[in-house]
Amino acid sequence: MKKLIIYLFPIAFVFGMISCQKPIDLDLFTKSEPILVVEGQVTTDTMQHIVKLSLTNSYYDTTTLNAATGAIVSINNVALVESNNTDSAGFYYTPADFYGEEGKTYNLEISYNNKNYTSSSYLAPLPQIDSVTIGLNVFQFFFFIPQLGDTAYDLTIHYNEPDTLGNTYLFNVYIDGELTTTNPRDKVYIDDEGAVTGPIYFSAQSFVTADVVDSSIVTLEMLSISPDLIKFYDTFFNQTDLSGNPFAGSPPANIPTNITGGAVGFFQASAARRISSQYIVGMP
Amino acid sequence: MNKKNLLIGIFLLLFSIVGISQEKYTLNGYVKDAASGEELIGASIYIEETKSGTVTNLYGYYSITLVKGTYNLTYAFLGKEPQKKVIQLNANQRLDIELAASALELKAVEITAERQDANVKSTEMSVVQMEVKQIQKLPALLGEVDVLRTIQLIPGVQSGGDASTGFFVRGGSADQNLVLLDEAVVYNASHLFNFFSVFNSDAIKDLKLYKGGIPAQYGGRLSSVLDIRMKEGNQKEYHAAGGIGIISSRLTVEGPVVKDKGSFLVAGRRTYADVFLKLAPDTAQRNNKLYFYDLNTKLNYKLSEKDRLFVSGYFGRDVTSLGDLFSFDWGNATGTVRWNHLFSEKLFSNFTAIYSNYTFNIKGDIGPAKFNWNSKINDVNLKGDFTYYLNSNNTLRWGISSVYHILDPGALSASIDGALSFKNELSPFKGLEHGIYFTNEQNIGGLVSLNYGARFSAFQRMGDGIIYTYNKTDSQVWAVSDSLKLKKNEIYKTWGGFEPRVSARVSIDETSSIKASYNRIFQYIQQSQSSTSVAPYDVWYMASNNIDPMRVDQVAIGYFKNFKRNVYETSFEVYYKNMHNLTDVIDNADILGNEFLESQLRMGTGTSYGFEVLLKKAQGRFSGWIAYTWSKTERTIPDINNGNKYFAPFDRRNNLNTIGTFNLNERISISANFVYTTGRAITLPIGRFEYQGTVAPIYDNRNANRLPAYHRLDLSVNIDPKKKEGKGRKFESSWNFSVFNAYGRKNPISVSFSEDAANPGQPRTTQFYLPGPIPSITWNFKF
Repeated sequence: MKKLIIYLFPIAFVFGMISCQKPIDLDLFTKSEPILVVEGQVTTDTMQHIVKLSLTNSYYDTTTLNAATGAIVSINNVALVESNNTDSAGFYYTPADFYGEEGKTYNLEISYNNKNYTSSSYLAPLPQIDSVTIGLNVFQFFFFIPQLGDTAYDLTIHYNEPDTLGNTYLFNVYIDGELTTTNPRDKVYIDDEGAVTGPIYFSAQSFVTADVVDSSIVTLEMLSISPDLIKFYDTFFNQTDLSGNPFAGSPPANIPTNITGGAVGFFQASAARRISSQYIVGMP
Repeated sequence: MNKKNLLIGIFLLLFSIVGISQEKYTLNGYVKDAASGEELIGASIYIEETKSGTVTNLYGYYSITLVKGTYNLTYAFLGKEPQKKVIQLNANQRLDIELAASALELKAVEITAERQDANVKSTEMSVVQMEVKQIQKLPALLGEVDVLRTIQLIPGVQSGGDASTGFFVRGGSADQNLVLLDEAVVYNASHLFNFFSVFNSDAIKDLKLYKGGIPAQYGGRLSSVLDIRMKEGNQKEYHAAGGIGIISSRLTVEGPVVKDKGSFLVAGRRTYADVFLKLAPDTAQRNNKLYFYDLNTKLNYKLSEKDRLFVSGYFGRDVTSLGDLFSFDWGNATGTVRWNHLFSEKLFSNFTAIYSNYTFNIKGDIGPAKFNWNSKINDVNLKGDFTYYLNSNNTLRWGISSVYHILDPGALSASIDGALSFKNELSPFKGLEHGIYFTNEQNIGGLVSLNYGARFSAFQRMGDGIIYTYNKTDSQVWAVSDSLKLKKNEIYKTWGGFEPRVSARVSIDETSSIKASYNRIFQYIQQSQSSTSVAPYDVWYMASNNIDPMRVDQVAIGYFKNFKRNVYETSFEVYYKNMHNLTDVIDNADILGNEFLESQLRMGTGTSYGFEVLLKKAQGRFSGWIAYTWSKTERTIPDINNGNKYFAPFDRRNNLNTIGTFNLNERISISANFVYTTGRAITLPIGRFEYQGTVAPIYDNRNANRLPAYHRLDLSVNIDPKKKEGKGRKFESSWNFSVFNAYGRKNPISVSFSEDAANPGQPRTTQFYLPGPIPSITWNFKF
């Protein structure tokens, strides 16, 4: 939930007028033992699902992060195959006919360097999507968009929110088939806390003109996720963008994980649905 | 001596009632400033014959009971000409004294208004009292004389950093300070994101900070009491005073309502930082607002020789806005009505009704989208305090107090095209806090004095509001398992506790003494320690089924010695504090606008210990102090930091504060202060990982690292008006030139870790700091 930013923004603005910023060099310790990083997803799509494994670096070490190779990885006892391509070192693939089912729990097991790591994720059901509309953005001040004043667009997705509470969704945006919400900071996700049941107005990530041009095909992807992933993304955002800011809501702390055994990262099973629309300049 | 006699002996010693029947009479009255008619707090009355004395109370009242006879008395107050009186005491006698300014005054900027050897002679320890007049000569940030920034220069008091008027006393968090303005609690004592305090120094007469040995009349906060008293207003003639500075202007008007019977005071202040925004090249910026204002008012009236009435109020607001899109304002309002009544020469009483309020409001209005958040805190307090001047060796105090607290976090709502899209109504916290106390201040033969007593405090959580029960099997994630909706005024639960308060002084000789104190205090309402955030979103909560009242036990022991006829004062104090049921937030806590706030909090214990050394020169052309504090503050909370001990965020090992004022001549004085402290405890990254192409930090244990050391030098020059001869009202003006952070040290307010936007994958460490040096000029006038 990015609600916090709405309230922090005016403070950030005013504070920015009073204080200054400068880069600083601090002596930071290096953790001697690298930690395993897991990034895994299973969806209801039939495809090769990927689990990426890598290792942590010291904070100022900007060399490419090390892939964790040679691990034994399985999801619900289906073995994953390690990539032998150097560009995708540390990637582990499910068979191509693998797909997740709503209502089922998926268990990830990893054995790496004589250590075992596990995770499990419930694949929650997802409502049907009714429609998507595209309009000029009115919220652009709310979010840290690249250039204040650039034209931005609102993507509004309409769907029937079930009467039961506790539903959490993640949205991705594709322009002409290309994912624009690649990194955790771009992700848009909601829970139904404080929401009124029924169709939900949802303002997606604002993005600049360069992404949407005349005749673009805009695709919105909706995924069911666990509330823990919301916490993960919220924290990820706080800890990478707001951490230590004098107006930030919470002090620095590690991003939570759903991997046991001392690894970091997240494993998520999701139902996925998509809806597309073509943007024509002058559309209402 | 048999047992019975021994008991009688102890009894007699305790109350020092000499077994010889003698006629005794009481001398009482008020000590006032001759120029303004204002009562003087802490003026001393010394009786030569008995080699003992007393001091006036917070209303300038004193009472001494002596055996019939003739006495030589000296009434004194720093900066005033002492007055000697010979009294034939053969009946109860009222004697009001007016002390005129001493001819020697202004020669020195005395740092203290205390009786010259009060630090050695009184039972009080861990206490600092200041007259605002003296604070006004010290260097000021942007010309705004700030009592809270001066407080931070006292040993044992830690600052929150540059963007902070918040203070931390002996390892206590900021919400453990009881900040009182004319007895009303001030919930948020800062303006403009902590750069300035809400106290307009023109309206303040006197302040007193208790760091330990907190007397029983105060309760409800663990670590300190900052008791600020407003001026009453000149009883004799009309006066105006004010100042024009770079970012603010002030005006105070005072005068008699009825001469020598009543007076009023109105003091206002407004900053105009936003005036400069009008000059901004970006037209959008010109409509932004950024200012604060405050207004202090006070009225007092002598109803009779035995009755006085005081009405005082404070109202302040901070206003910020971003064009018409956002507005954000917050502030305090307090009101106090007091009635002093003398039941007899020996029994002084004060009845008080207090209202205290803090609110903040955030509004957004962007096209069809609107959002709003209102939050408030309200206190209503009724109390009665009594002082009974039993005899020259015993002063009894007792009182009773009840506060009705409403902490209303409010409702967050958002709408699009008039249709409500989001609403989060947070349930209020309501409770009653009660206190009853009794103490005796006792002299035993001049060498030993004691102040002992106790407070019994109680807290009742009441409706409306919702009590949540959590399933705590997962120590990091508490899920709601049950909720109980309280009916209006329904009492849910009552807590209570006995709070012993003891302090003692033993004189070694005329110029040195040893003092010791112990206090226990309970605290029932507290503020979230979510961050070092400067934002004024104060999240307060109270004792509940999940949060027990906090408790502190503090012991302190000190050695006090004065040299060269009290010109030099030294002290050395050691303290140890044990805190129970301290709360802190879990990792990645969600505090703002969270109905399930308590699920983000965990309780544990804390300790704080250290020593404070003070060397002070209070008189002469050169005055000032050097204060050094060594301290250590740690917490142990089972579900935080894996249950391992960690430093409080405001823990600082070494702290050196120096203040000096040198009077070049009668008109010009130069002041400087220098501060050096160990950096604040923070959590730093020890590694990084990549997830979905973005780099994120891996952190060390909580608060295991330090910000760089903080140091700063401030300078100021004061030019006072030429002394004009003759009586009557005269126009006088003075100048203050200040430089804050004279050598431009970039002291980090905080450090943030993010990805370099220009170079994805590259980490970037950024520090926020207040730019420096910051010069300022203020022109002050009075007539």
